[in-house]
Amino acid sequence: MSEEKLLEIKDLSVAFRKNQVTTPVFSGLSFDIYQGETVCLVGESGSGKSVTAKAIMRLLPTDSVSYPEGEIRFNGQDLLSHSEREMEQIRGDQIAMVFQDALSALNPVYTIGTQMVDLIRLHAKEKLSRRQALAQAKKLLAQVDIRHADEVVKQYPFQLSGGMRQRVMIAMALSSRPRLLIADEPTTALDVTVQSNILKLIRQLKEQFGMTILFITHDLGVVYEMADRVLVLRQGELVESGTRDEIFTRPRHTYTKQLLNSMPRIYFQEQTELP
Amino acid sequence: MEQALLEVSHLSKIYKRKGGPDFSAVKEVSFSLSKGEALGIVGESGSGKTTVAKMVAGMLPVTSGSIMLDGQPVESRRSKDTKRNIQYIFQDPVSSLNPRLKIKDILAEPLKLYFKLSGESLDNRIHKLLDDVGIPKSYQDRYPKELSGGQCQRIGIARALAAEPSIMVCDEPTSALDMTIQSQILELLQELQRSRGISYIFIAHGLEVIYTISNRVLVMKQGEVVETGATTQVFHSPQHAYTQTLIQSIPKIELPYFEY
Repeated sequence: MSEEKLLEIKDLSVAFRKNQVTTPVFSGLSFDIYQGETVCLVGESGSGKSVTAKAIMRLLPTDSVSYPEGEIRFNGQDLLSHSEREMEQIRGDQIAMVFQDALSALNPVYTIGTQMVDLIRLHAKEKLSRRQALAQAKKLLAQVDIRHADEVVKQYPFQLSGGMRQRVMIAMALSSRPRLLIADEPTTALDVTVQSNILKLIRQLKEQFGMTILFITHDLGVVYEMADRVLVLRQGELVESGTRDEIFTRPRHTYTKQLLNSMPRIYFQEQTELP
Repeated sequence: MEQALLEVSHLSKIYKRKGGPDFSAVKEVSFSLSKGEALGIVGESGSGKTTVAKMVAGMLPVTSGSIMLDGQPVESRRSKDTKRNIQYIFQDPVSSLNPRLKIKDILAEPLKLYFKLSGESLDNRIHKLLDDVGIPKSYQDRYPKELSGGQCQRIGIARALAAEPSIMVCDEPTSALDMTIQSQILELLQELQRSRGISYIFIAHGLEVIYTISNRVLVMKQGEVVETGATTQVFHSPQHAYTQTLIQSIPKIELPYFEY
């Protein structure tokens, strides 16, 4: 982990507008993400986790969402002052996102190969033929441990299992070597065994490419496995932030304590200490 | 030995497929459930957990095998009393309630059907049920959409309780809920287990939840039971290779236990 800030969020306010009534989702949200670290954003539904992620990507609907105050600085540039065209250069290229529901994030009527080739050609620095892009797609699939990439590129999303679809999503997110990967509940819909493989994969890729990760989850077990630092969000307010060990051993805010107490736990530690 | 409340033996579910081999969703599953016991069923998606639960609850016809309730065989056409005795709690708390009915009417249905309650005794019973699950009486005139997910699940539990069952089959009852709400619902279910001796068949993919609530665990894989035993035994010294993988996959918080 370096001292260089990759993402700085300063006093950010996000407001939803409906029928001329403006409702603030949150105001005054500030946090930084340093180059190469994994930051977990935790909180319950409605706490603003996903809104934060989408605000960074500027994926919130422009006709009903406004950013009355604050800054989102990525790599020194203020994303909020970017035009839609400039954002397109950032999205997918420098910041990529993996969603919870891979099935609905993939296009159901195109094969995996077609979708990946289009994406790779769109972000390619020089012109690529479809054949070259397909070769790259297979290489990416191999990176996320898909062994029979030749078959997978010919398949449609519905033909793949949940874990495989999530791998494809991660492969697509990695296609442009993003500096920041935002993973919004990427394993919530998956079985534990599959979840454990995907988490391992994300950790490996992080080490391999020095990626910075913003990981959104409500599962504290996953947080403990993934996070360098943890941000606790409640009703649009950042109630506590700290290193993983600070949060898990010395939580200060009552809400963090409440969250930690409510998690069902399996006490492996106690058991192993028994004779 | 005390007679088991529920005795399931060699339960199988086979789906016929046109022009292809038949698909066995559940293969020869046997287990028993005593009064006041919570049996957790774990396994990955497609392992047949829900199929077993639905067959036990009578929501899915059985291909072969038998179910005995209180020593009596359960017929494929269930008696009203058998239906009353085994109640089901669904994963999606909101869509499992009729959106066109007020809360009091949702709760009135089983009370009228099974106990022929009406008038004041019906109202009193509804108030008592709401009280049991920690929902204010004033909510009885609301519609499900006016309640939060956790509140809807409490209503789902109250509706099951209305039938005064001996067994509640809970299929991922907390998966759609936030963690703090999940722990409240689990506490409510445990409290009902203690106070009324209700038995549970509990399905969850969250193994921590199963660990918290179950006395005994059934591990399923591809329609078969691969391991069964007391919860602590299965979690702390899993025997079958699949159970071991499952347990190893749980994201672990490697800290000794303490209350925060």
